[in-house]
Amino acid sequence: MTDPLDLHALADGELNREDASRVRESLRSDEALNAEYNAILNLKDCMRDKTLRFDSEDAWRACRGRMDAIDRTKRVEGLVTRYAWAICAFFFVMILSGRYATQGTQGAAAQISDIGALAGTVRSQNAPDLRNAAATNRWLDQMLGDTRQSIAMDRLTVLGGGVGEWQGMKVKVLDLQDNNGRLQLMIIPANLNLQDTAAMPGTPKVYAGNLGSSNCVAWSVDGSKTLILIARRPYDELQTIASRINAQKK
Amino acid sequence: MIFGRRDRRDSFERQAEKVFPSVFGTALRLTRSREDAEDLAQEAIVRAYDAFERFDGSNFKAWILRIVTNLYINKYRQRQRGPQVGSLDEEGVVEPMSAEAEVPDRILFDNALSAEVEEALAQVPVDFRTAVILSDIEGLSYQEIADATGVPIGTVRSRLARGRSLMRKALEGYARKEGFLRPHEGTDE
Repeated sequence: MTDPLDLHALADGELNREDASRVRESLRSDEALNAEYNAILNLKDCMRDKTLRFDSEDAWRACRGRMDAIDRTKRVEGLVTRYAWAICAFFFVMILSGRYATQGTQGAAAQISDIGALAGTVRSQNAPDLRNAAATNRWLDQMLGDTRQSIAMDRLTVLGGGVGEWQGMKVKVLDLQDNNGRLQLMIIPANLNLQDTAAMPGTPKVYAGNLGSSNCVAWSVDGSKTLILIARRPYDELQTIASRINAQKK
Repeated sequence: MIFGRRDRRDSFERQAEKVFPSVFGTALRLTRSREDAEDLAQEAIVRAYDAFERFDGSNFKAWILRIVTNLYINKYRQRQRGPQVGSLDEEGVVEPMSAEAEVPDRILFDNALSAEVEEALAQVPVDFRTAVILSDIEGLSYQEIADATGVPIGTVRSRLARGRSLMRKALEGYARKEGFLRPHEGTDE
């Protein structure tokens, strides 16, 4: 007795040699079995020859599009993974450069009221012996440094001065006096963008601000330093003194 | 690395393009919907492309058809309508295809049109249909069909026998409808 499943297996070439010859032997002696076997073969032929060939061009094109998208994604992922450190370093450098570039051109933002508060705290720690003119001049040169500014000793008297710290910068403060009273000159080693000041009419490079009971004028030197002159005076008077200080040493 | 990826893509594409008509045909015969078949074929290609590094290099067509079948079973089959295997006794006695019916194959198969063969196939419940498609149309071995469908070889054998028997019955129905068989021909009456 031959298992009908073996007939299918024989037709499919799935029987080993021994089983195949056993089934073939049965086929020779059993007509009904032979007819069944032929029916299986005929159906297999029919399935192979008469099934449709579907048009799959569009579907294949869509698949290629998906593969392109996968490749693109993997390329980007690969680059990001491989060069993550470089990308981070690049952005870090960009941020630092941006910071320095902003400082160089526009100046760091600051409130004049914050800086003015410093003026009151700096005491004349390094006050010179004002009776010695030569010593006073040397000290003044040190204080003014490379600002190319000059204090006219015939108009202004130096009372003293000192160095304070504001936002990590050494800020020099000079206590001055003229016929109308006392003044303070602050020298800040940065080009500041003073936000609570306004440009003086006619002199757009000099800015005026208010510090409570005092007024102040500020100007920039060489794009790297800011000088602020503070006193209980009208703005135009402060501006006149500032222009003298600024004009005397080129 | 970049060249490796390019080579991999080329190698995959070369082989996939060759077997894609089989992939799409199988997807279409399983889902019986062009839209679903396009989705299924596309998803199978994408998965195969992703897993191409794990392909053992033996039979690409069998490997990719296994992905199609697995995807269909896991994702699409629940959405499909139509007869399921539960309606038939899978392990039941295999009916003979010809002996008692005495329907000449010449009448049955010579007159069958491709569209009718496809329609007859579509009437076969999906588990039997899958076995018939993979074996008789795509030429996969029993072991490859067992791998693709996740069933033992014994089940593949019985599903094939049952599927072919059902297929023949469906073709007889068409032959009768078209007048190639007389109403009493091919029945036990």
